[in-house]
Amino acid sequence: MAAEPAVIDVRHLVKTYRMGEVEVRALNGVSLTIAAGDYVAVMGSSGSGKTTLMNILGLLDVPTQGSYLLDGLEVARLAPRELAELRNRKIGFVFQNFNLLPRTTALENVELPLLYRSISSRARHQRARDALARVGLADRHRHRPNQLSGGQQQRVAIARALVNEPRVILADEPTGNLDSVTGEEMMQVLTTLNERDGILIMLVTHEQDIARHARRRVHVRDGCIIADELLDGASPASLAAGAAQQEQRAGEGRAGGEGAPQGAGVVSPEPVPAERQAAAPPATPPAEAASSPSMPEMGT
Amino acid sequence: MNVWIALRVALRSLSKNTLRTALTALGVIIGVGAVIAMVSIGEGAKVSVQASIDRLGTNVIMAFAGSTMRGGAHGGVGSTSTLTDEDAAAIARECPAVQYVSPGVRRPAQVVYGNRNWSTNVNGNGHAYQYIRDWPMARGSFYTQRHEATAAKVAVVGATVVKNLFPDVDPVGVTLRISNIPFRVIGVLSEKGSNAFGQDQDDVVMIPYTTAQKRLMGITNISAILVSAKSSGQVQEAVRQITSVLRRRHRLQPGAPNDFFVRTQLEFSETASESNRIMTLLLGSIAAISLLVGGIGIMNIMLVSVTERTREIGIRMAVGAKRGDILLQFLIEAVVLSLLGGIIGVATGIATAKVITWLAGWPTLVGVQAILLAFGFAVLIGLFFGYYPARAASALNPIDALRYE
Ligand SMILES: Nc1ncnc2c1ncn2[C@@H]1O[C@H](COP(=O)(O)OP(=O)(O)OP(=O)(O)O)[C@@H](O)[C@H]1O
Ligand SMILES: [Mg+2]
Repeated sequence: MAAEPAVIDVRHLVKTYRMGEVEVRALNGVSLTIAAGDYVAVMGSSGSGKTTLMNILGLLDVPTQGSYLLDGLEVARLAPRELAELRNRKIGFVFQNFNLLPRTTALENVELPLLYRSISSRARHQRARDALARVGLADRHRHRPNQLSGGQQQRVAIARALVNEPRVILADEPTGNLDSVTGEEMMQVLTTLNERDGILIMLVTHEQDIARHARRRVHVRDGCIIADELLDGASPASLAAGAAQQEQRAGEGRAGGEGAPQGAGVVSPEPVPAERQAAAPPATPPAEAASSPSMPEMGT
Repeated sequence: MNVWIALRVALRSLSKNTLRTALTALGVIIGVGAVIAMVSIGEGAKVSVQASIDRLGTNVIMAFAGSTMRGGAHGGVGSTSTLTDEDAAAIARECPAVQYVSPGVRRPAQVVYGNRNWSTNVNGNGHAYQYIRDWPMARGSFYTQRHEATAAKVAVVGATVVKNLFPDVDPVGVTLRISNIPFRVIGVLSEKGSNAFGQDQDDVVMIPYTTAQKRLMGITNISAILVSAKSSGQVQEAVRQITSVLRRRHRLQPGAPNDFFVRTQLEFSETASESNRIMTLLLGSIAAISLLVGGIGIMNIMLVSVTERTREIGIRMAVGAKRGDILLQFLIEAVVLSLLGGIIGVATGIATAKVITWLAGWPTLVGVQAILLAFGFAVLIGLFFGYYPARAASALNPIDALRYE
């Protein structure tokens, strides 16, 4: 029923951390579908489970329960090497703290994902160079992380994430360590990747100004999605599926999740017809979207 | 999984972390080098002691005056004067297994030539001494039976004496004075080096034992008899014959202890190799400690870098490295490091041994066994502690590796 097939499709995701006697439910039944080329901002107060969700979506962590279909593949059934392959090819992950290899040049850092697939060293260099150019760092090949500003380091990290032409870029607070101007630049880079290259981008942020760039916002609280809203020309299908599963969360199986009635119980701006989404959305959503009254105030 | 990729990644990583690479390699180098140097000193000493004992000749027997027990008191070697030159003559006459016999007396003395003087050992030996010790002349000749019979005032000198007394004169034919008695030098002994007990054998003036007895010391007894058996197979036979001749001549009752000692070359070797065993053991334990310290050094640096490496592993896994890629990378790193350290360590150890020989003059012998042992041990430690943390880290979820602290 979705206009585009879902790239990310998670159902009833639960993640519990056990700390001695205490059990922390970081995710408490999250269901979410995201279509190819979507641009999603995840918001929520500290400790609400955003990072946990992103790590699972990025195949860096495994859920305690629930299913995760990535491009239709059930991730839980994949062998470690297949997961590594997916991390390598399909997903680019951008960390809040960059996670670049120290004492290693920008170019080599960007080449890192390419080292784990067979590709000639000439092609590897070329692709890494191109990726650096795409994030505006063509002149910083030889710089080491400690010779780069925070914003430049994050761009290197983005270049690394996109060097393998992934379908998905997941960014956990990519601007969290950057000042607002640099953060804005970072968002321009990501937005371009989404609009020009059609890469699905999902990012976590605490800031309205950052979230403004996305077309869809997912609000998380206490390990649950409490709101899933489309800004400026969203796909109702994607939203509907998410909302339906949301409602179903307390229930058991995933059967019927897809067929559940649309628009049940979740706050969102009035659904917009699918055709509108097909038309290229503007680079920057209208400012009103950011101050939408439907948005719950998050304790950031 | 591609070995070349892993190799490239490993080498890249090693060159990125030069300090860690150097420190780890240093641990291996010190461990291996110390063991090799240490063991080579021990081995060198052992071999040189053995060689100098063997140089005495395998069929040499010595009889000393002295007894283990006399009137309730221990007497040391040479502490009594029970041996005479008649005893020596009797041994030569009556023991069929004996080839040469040389009576001996010795005493340190001041030797003077011109305005130079030198304190050395003056040894009175029989003319057969040169054959028993198989000690050729460098110049001139050894004294003869005739010199011995007439107690002639002739002397042959060792290389050390030549160096100190005759630095720029040909000693053959000159006259030197021992305790103010003039002696004509008739020969120079070839250089022999130090003996099993570290004494300089070339620091000697040899004169006929008769001359030493009559003209120098005024005694009639001798302190030792040097004997050679006809062959090394007849040494024990010769010892029996010598013992029975001496006991008979000294009129010892059956059951009475000998008032002399008879020692063979073999017994000297055994004494020497016993003390060598102790020394080797000592050096070996020092070496083992060095190896252990080197090993702990390797472990230390490897474990200290685990945090950093675990994060690195997390990053690599996050961008698509498979477990096998990680393991191969770390295995190769560990192999390269340990081999590098091991090879440099072997070179360092051998060089150290050479330097010790050069500086301290100790003989050293670099043994293959020591090299293999040190190298093998250090490389194993390097491999284990380089590889094991990576194994643990690569089993984690990428996120746990990234968060490791
Ligand atoms: N490794 C862990 N072990 C135990 N508890 C954890 C672990 N990781 C996260 N948690 C807990 O899970 C909950 C969700 O954490 P998470 O990091 O997902 O929050 P977040 O939404 O990303 O917060 P922030 O905005 O501060 O980054 C928190 O209560 C946290 O304490
Ligand atoms: Mg977080």
